[in-house]
Amino acid sequence: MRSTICVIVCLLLAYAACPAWAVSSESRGINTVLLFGGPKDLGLVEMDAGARVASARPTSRVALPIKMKTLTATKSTPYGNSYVRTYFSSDVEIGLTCAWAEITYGTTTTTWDGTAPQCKSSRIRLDELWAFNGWCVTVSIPSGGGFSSSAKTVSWTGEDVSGDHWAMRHIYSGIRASACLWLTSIRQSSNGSHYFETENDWVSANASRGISTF
Amino acid sequence: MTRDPGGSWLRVAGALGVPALLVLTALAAAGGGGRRGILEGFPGLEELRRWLSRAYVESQTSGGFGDYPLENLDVATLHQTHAALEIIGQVGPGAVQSPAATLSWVASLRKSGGMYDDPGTNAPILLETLWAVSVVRVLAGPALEVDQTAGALMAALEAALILESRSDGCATAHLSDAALAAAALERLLGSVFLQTAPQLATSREIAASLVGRLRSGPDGGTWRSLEGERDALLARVLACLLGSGTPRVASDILSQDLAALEGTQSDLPPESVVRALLDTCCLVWGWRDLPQRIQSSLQSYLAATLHRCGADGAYAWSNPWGVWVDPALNADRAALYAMAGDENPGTPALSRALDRLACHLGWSSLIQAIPGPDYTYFGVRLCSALGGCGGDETKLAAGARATLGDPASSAQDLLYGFRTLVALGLWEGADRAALVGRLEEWPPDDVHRDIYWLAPLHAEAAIAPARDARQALIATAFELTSGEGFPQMAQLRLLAYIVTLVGEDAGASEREIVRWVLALSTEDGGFRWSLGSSSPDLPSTYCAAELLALLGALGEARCDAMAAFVATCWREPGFLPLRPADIPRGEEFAIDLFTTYMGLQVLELLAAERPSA
Repeated sequence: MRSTICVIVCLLLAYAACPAWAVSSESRGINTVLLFGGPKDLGLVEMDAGARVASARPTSRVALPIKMKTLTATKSTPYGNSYVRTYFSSDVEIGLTCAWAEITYGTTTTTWDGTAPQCKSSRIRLDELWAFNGWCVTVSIPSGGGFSSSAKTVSWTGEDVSGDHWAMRHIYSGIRASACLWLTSIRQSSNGSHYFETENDWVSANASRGISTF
Repeated sequence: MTRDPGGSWLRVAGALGVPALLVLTALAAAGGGGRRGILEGFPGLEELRRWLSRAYVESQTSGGFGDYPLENLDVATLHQTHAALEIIGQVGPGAVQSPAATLSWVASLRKSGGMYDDPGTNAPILLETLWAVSVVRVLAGPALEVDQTAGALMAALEAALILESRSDGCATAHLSDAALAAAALERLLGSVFLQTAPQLATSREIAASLVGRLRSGPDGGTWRSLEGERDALLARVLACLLGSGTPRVASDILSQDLAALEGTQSDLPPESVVRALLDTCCLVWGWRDLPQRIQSSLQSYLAATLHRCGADGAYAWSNPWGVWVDPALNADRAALYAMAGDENPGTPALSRALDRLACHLGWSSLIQAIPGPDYTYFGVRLCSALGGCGGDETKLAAGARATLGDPASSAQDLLYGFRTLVALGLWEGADRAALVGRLEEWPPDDVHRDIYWLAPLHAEAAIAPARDARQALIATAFELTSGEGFPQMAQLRLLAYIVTLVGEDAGASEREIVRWVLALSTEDGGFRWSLGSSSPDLPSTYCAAELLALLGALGEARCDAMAAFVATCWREPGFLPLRPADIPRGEEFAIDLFTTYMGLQVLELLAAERPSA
């Protein structure tokens, strides 16, 4: 039995090595925006397009054990005869050593579900933030428009000013954080705002969720 | 073995100075394992309790804790503070904690040129200035010097009005958003600060000119373009600019607004139409002077739209975990009730919401996290240590059981759902049966991925899944590729659980793990994440304490020094992951439920170990 334990000990040492990522300011990943403007009683009919994108979702490049988590949140704000909603679901991989994490695939949607004071939003704005709490954190962001980063956060902003839509969906992947030692938590906050010109009102729904890493 | 109630802790504390003395005295007072009292003596516990009460959310059936970093909760916003003061002024459900501090904070937000900016929001700066001036008006009255702001606002108003006049002319007469905001600001300023200011007279002349061009007919008694709500809003704002000297204008506007209110097709008339009525009535007439039919319409509106509010009679945010009353959504409605003299059924809910969102400088925005099983467990443990903080144990247990029964729950979710029920003292046989069923049917392909969380679950005596399931877990460990190097704390923690699972013959390996862990300890009592780490930190010390306790070796650590190290990570109202002095320049760390729980857990493990230390 002692030899068994020794083998386990040795094998588990394999975890000590973090995935050899070259930390860079940009990485390859999904960064897609879908807009919805069709009849509301049909729902988000362009979800098929989202599904096609989802089928291209990358698989983990990490062979060693990882911790998988899903960040989900929903928030609704009453307005007019219905609600402004924002909801997201993001798959997160966390290294066993807690020294890295990656959003491998996620979607965030903000919708205006009502018909009064107007059927479509004059403007739709989505502000997203991913915050990584850890020691000596470096983040990398997907290439493409809208993303920016600071020391421990990644943010993305998208806006539709056409006045022809009532929902916006952001599909993303490749948001990464590496720490010198450990990450203790990850949080995502997504704030969907809709402007109603007839009322001169901005209405927001801010969905937020955090997870611990070990 | 004799108990030494606090003696060793106090000896250490004596060498650490007053703050640590408080901490360690409190630790000693815990009596060697009692949870309540373990944090007694730490400064700022009331703030920690308040913070926890904010992170707690519940629906009709279940409850839980979100993660909220403190800085997100305690940042006052101009919009929310403006709304809160409006409500307090109308229904009086709360009190301003520190008017001087709020005024000072608002003053700090003033930018060059006199406008105000509220970092973190996307609102136009003009609106933020409106909210700032509104706050100042409520708290300071007309004596405040706002010349610079007034001048900037006048300039913005004039520029907007002149621009609109040039671009649209008399025929269409639309005002930009900026002009509307500027006009509202001007009204606010004019009513409070600048009754005699020459700029006010100038802007009124401009506004009167626009009103004149909007009106048509031989006597100017009809509106040129009031079909749209936007134009009605424009006319109302401009009429407000002219004040009570134009009752006929106001009467026309009231008729238009009332028609809009009565003619609306939706079950909820646009709030702005009601707000328009409110503004015009307040500016031109008192409630008692209003025509009876207008009074009746407004009261009917309030009654007819009550169903749009939550069960507590106030507008609220909602998500699957429940609803939260937001003062910013309720300011106008509260004003209507106040004007009508009716009892606002939402007042108790608004009062609770204001208390919940109040912070030192003002009121924070309502950013409510979705609870998770991990933070729920941390919250339950912290509340227990504080002697309670308002969570409903029945709903917390229901939330944990929902987690155990949810096929989508991850291994980490199950672990913390289990721990929550145990912490609440509500772990039952049916819960065990459900969890064991999940563990024994865990997809073999997922064991590799989930081993970090499955190992502690299998190691729990209270769960005790079938031996076959354990063997599958251990077998998975064999499949892992080998590597070299000294293990980091996270690997050692997992290793300890795996060794525990293997059974009674693991003694030698346990000793090896203990030696590795102790090699990561530092002179000042904390533990490092790896040999390459330069300084100790709380996450590493937390992992070390847990796995040493798991292996029955916590007594081999320098417990006194360990507790002293944890105490130095305290910064009101929780534990930082590093000692403040160790935080590198440019690094920022958030105190959240997890980091605070880490400190508590170490102290509790040490307190439980103390009699044998």
